[in-house]
Amino acid sequence: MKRNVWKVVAVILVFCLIFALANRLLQPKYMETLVEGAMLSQYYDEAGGHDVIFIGDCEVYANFTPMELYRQAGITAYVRGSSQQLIWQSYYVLKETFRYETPKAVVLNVNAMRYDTPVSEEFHRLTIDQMRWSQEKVGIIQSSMTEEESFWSYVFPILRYHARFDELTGEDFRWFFREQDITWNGHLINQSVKPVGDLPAMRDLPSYAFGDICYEYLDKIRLLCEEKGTELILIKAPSVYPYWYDAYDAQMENYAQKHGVTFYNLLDHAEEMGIDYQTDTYDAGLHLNLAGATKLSRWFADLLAENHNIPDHRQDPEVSAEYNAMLTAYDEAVKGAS
Amino acid sequence: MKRYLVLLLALLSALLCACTHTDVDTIEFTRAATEPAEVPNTTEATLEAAVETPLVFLYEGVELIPGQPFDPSLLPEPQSTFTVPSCALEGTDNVYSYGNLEITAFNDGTGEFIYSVYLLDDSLFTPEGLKIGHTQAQVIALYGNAFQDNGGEYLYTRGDVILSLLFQDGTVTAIEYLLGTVNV
Repeated sequence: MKRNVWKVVAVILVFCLIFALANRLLQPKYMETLVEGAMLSQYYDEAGGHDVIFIGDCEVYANFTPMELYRQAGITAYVRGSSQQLIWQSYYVLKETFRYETPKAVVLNVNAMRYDTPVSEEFHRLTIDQMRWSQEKVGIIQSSMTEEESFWSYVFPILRYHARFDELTGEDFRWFFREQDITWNGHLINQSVKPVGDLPAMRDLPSYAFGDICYEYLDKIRLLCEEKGTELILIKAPSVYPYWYDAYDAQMENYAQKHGVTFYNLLDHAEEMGIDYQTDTYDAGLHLNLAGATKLSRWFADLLAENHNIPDHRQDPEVSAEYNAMLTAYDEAVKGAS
Repeated sequence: MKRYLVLLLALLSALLCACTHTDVDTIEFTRAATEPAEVPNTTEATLEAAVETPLVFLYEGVELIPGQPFDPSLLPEPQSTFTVPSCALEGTDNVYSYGNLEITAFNDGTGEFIYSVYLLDDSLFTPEGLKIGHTQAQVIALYGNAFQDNGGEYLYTRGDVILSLLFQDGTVTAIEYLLGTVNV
């Protein structure tokens, strides 16, 4: 009898192992293609010691390079950005970040305030799939999931990705057991150049009011920062498209004034930063390339230091040793990629 | 022991092959190619039975229907083309500008398909005779009462195509044909 029980246990364990391996194999690895899917997970090995955390969509991970924030003003920062990160996702990403550290400031890109419904299930998989399991991951799934989706497909990715069985590539096997660093403190380097040309017409919209759900989560972000003693800084990154309507800007100005937070529309300061939209963007103005991100980050570093008292760590032996080593590697990587 | 293993392996295979939910590849979401469109919730509106005439825009003799394949070579050379890549996803959306019209096309990997047709000025008429500058009364006379009123926006839905009409002070200010999904 006892022998039979052990046999059953052994069989179940073998099944669980095969099931776990199948889950891992079929889940996209995001290490060579669609690397944006690995961005949030890169944080866990580097968590802690950051005075500034950037939160938001691709406008933050493309436009801000923490290496230049440090080089310019000794600021330690990390970008927790992901593709099409919606405002409710930003809340849970921030809440999760507070489990690991309490920064002096959180910089939130408000571009996502224009989206009050999910844009695409594929996009929120890029944000959610690689997050570590926590209460925040449960929250982000529940807040992002559409009616057609199943929570269990997030618990067991095999339920979502089983169709990849005949689409597996070498990437799935090469990165089965390991990961590689693809970002520099959350920044994804892109040195291509595609200048801004003729943009599509600025369209009239049926309504310019941000959705209630967006304000609800913006409030949650603000209150969470208050609870933690962290300053919240709202920004609109200097991406020229999709259009940031005056009505959007007015809403954020009003919100900032009402709640005593700072809002910077960085589009208004692009010239001051020295951004040239003929050379500093890799996709005709949607995102800055590395040259543009460098200019923006250095300008923003000075602003953070002067207006928000973010400390300069360049004289701190431990921090400077770590960051100087990172800068050396970063500069080599930039040189190698150009 | 062998029996149990075989049974459990069969169960794993079943899990690999079958889904308890709709395969996400067949899930249709409203695609936000450039600006996300508000999709009408027909369960909330009081719609009369929609006229079955499909919503089609005719430009330079070419029928433009959201959701249908788009061949730019059938039209005159656009004044400009703007490529909107996804933040990360493969594929791009192209916005073709023809001066008085913009066509946004998405590529699903098999080819380009029309996502939206946006009229830019009052030089163009819909096949039904509507143009920018017409009144709400003229809209209803041409398209009927089977629309959803989104407070300043009328949405006519026929099949997968939505005709979006924006008004200001009772006058049409924007006309757009969109690919959309309808929640019932």
